[in-house]
Amino acid sequence: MDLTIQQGDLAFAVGRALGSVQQKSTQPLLSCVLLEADSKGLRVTGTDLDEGTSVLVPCTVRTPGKCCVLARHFHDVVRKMPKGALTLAMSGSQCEVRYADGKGWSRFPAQPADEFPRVPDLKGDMRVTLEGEVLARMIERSAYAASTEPARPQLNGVYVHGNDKFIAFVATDGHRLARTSRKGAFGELSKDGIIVPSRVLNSVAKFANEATSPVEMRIADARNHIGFATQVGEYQVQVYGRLIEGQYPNYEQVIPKDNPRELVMARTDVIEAVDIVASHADSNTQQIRFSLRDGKFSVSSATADFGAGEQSVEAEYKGENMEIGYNAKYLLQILRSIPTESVTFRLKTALSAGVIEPVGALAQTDEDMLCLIMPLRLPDAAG
Amino acid sequence: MILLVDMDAFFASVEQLHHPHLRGKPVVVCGDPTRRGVVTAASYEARPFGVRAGMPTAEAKRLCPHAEFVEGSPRKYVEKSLELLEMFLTYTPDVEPFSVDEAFLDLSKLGERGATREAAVAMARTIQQRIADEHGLGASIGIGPNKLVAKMASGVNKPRGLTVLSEEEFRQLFWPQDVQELWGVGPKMSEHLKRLGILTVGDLGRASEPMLEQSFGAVGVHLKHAAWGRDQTPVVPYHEGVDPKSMGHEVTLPEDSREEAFLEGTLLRLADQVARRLRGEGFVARTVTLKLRDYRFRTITRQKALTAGVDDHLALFEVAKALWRANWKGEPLRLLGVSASALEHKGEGEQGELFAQDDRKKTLQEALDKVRDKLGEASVVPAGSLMHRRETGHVPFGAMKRKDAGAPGAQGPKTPQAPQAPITREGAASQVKRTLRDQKRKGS
Repeated sequence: MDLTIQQGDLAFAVGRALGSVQQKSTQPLLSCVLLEADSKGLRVTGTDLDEGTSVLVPCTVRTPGKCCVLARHFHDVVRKMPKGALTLAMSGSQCEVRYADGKGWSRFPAQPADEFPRVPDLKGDMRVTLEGEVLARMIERSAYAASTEPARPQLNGVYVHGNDKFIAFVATDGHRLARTSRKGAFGELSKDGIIVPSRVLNSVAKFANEATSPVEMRIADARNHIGFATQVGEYQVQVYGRLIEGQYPNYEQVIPKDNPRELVMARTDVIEAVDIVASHADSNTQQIRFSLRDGKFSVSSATADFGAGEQSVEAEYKGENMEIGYNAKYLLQILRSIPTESVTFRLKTALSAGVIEPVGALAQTDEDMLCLIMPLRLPDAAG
Repeated sequence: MILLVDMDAFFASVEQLHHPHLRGKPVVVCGDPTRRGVVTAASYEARPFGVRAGMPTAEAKRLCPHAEFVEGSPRKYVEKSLELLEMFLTYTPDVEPFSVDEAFLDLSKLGERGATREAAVAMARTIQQRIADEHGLGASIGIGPNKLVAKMASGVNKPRGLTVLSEEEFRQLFWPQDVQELWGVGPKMSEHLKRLGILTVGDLGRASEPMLEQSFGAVGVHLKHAAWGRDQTPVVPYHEGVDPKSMGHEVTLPEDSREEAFLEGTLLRLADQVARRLRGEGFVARTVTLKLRDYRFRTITRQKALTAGVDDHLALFEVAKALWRANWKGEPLRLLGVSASALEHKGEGEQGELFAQDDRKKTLQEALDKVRDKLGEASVVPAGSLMHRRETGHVPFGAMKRKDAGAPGAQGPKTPQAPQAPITREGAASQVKRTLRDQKRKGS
């Protein structure tokens, strides 16, 4: 391997590939990035077997070749090197980088590349295309609600499904749920939908926003892998991952259709109140209380350890008096994901699922979003 | 005045009581004596040979080969412990079961009967006598103005000792002694103190408070007070007992292992034991901690917080397994542990579930709990935990001796009386607390 590359290009590629490398890996090779030089340029790949990122950047290749270097270490050094051309070549079993017109050089112990895990080949499989900023927004509005617990692995990802009218991203951990959708023809997804690990989507979100071409989602025929490919300027970026197997729960069934009590308020007001009041909540349950009485609304919390607090919030409320408990962290995540000035809570009882929705149209009128939250049982709660 | 009643070699003595042929002989109580493990208790006859609780059974066998090695039976100890607590309650309502074989008795609210040294000594003597006459056991009693002095006094003269100390006498006696003798100073703390030049309890008493605070935080200040024989901790009668902070189980493996199915089965078994305790005491846990100790005695603990409280073994197991997968590099393991913390009373602040949980699961769990309450822990076990079973005829949970388990391939206990949870002091103490709580619930 012998090539000349711009420092900025190499730092970008290694930095992005590093995003898929686990800090502590049980296999030494998985702490590395794979460098592959051929006529197309330099491809840098990092993976932890569940997820991978591969970036192809332009360079002048004199001799093709490949090797593996420790990802974090290589990145830390390359990113400090001065801007301008670098040469990268093998020197024995080391990968040598010369910088600043040959004034400096660094050598990195290199591992043979043969045993580095192969990137799944996703050519010729099912394809769905979305604009980068649309994809980033849909991830941002859904992925936070996915579970991080191992008990129900299907919930560790975002359920992506669609038909010839829309595409939807749904995530839930069984206690809250976020769904966002966009109009369009996505008949390819109509069969069963797929569950994409939220980790993979978080890596995708990092480059989707800066994509200069639409992002292409490629789903393997066997529905076991997914790849996201796009251009970021001159760079070709690909993130791929293993899909989560199993049946996603029938989430549509748990969306309440007939919640009669409607609470409308300014989003920033309720965020402020919940955020302050939650300082007095139990550190495990994060329990706060919504009190809806005689058209007035307040948020409160009290614990032996952290004292108590209460804040009134201006709101429109139609319905009977009620008290309902929530996990403040869940509420804040939901409220922060909604872009509109006002939000509506549609409630039924202190123990049943509540719907939280934006008031009025979103800036992108062909998009929609909805969130669900399950209450925390208050000591005095009635069903 | 405060009394600490500490039963002498409790587990071993109870065994001697039940089995006359063990009396007067060195007795070592351990898990299944044919397997690797540690000594839970040693009778006074075994102690001159150097046998101590906590040492590996193999070492005890080397030190005292002629000792009787007995597999512990927690149920007996728990029953005895409860009987003793009943008796203590006839002297004062303020009884704090401190462990399965120790209890604090607070006499300060008894007026004249408990105020003076003489009255306390007289009461202690009757208690000691009744323990011997009615239960055939020995106890050492420490008497002091607070819990710390009472506890330290109880250790001065054993077995069947009775020691009264004032704060002044406490200092005379303990100040020349090694700082590790002080209650609350463990081996690590002692090492740290010694590096600071604090070798004796007296050194600690004379050490500067700001220096101790800087090195140990609030604990440092507390330690200095302790060295002076001062302690403000109240005796907490068990009917107002504080909630536990965590519940856990750990096991030293029969031999170091890197066999995945075996380790996984062991985790399942531990998760099952923790879940049983959670449900038994009416708690759910929001944090699961995994403990691994490898063959070089390197120990790590890793934990994960959950979004809702859990009390079923599969939920605990899945988290413990994921932590294990993420942190085990394949080295042979010596010990595994699973514990649950961030405990909450079940039903309080319970997080609602969007997707209806299968009620049959709950019903099954309740039925299984009833079976095990009645027939013992080994009567029903998660199938996966049988991966723990490696030798033909060996029954998991250390429940039955191999020779009794019958023909090769025998998988279950034949008699419902035999199986019991493996013996640990913590386990027995937890059963005492659970029983007391149940009694209280029934009473109120």
